[in-house]
Amino acid sequence: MITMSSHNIRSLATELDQTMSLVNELVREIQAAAAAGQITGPVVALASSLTKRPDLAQLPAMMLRAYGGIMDALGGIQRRRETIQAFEAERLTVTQKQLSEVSTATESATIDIMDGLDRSLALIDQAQSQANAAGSSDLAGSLELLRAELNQLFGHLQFHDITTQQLGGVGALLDEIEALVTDAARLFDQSTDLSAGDSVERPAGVFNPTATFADVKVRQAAIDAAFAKTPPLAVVARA
Amino acid sequence: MKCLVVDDSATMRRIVVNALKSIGHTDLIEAADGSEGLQKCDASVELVITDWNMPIMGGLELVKALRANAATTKTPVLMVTTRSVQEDILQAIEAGVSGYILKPFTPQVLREKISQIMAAA
Repeated sequence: MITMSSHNIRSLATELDQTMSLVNELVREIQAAAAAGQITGPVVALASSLTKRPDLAQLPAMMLRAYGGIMDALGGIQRRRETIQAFEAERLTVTQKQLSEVSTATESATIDIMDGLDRSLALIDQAQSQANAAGSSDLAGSLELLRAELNQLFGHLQFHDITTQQLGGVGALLDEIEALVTDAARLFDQSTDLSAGDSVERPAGVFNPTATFADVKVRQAAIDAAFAKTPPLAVVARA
Repeated sequence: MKCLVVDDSATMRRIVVNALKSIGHTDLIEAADGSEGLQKCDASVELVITDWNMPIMGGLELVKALRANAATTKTPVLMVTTRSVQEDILQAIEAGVSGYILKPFTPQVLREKISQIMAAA
């Protein structure tokens, strides 16, 4: 945190410059007096040691250069913080909302498809009754096949549940990144309000971030094997 | 057979209910989380089909609560979930889950698993 202004630093450097000039003048006076035999003792040795040091008059200029370098670095950090803040406030929040919209849109579409499938199944029921009444077993059989197909389609809509959980996992990861970015930005400037944007409410435990469509049969077989190895009823009986 | 379907996703409940109807089960009740499922599950319920990840009370906690209740301690419970890591499976077995189906599942898999666990019950 910067507590001294640029003007104050320059004033301090000017005062230091004047002080160092006076010190240099004093050293020259002491050395001249010592050469004339007017003074002796520790003060002469002290003046002599001061002349062996680097040019003290350069100190204020060095200080100003160092100050300029520090200010440049702080400016860079400030710009970086602003970049991080823009990233945190805009991109992450927008991405969160987009994920939420995807979930809502797919849910709405899934419900529409389910409604359509339900209406289709009801029509099949109706047609099947008519086919049975007319004694048309071929038609009734075909309608039964059609019903099975529609039921399979119904099952495929599980994609919505799985993708919602996957999106939940991505959203939770974005929440973590947002918190980390906010913390990092606060390191650079605690005076700025870096509260997180309008984040999506995400109750804990309602999704599985590892949800996947991959290798269902292989994973199901491994689960069946685990259940076969340790029958659950035996566990319950032990309890 | 009276069956209780517990899932926080309304679409997923509808899918499970449709699958159950397609294999001949029509006496169905639904709950949106483990807590509601626990309230609705009495001795008349012959099979519980539950999700794992739910708010308020998850599926695993529901199974433990059912096992701790004399009226439901032996009620078969089928877990239908996306969770498949070994640790989860072992936890489910320890809690007393009767059968375990991964999403996405087919009505045929549901039928087979229900037959298995009802035969073992």
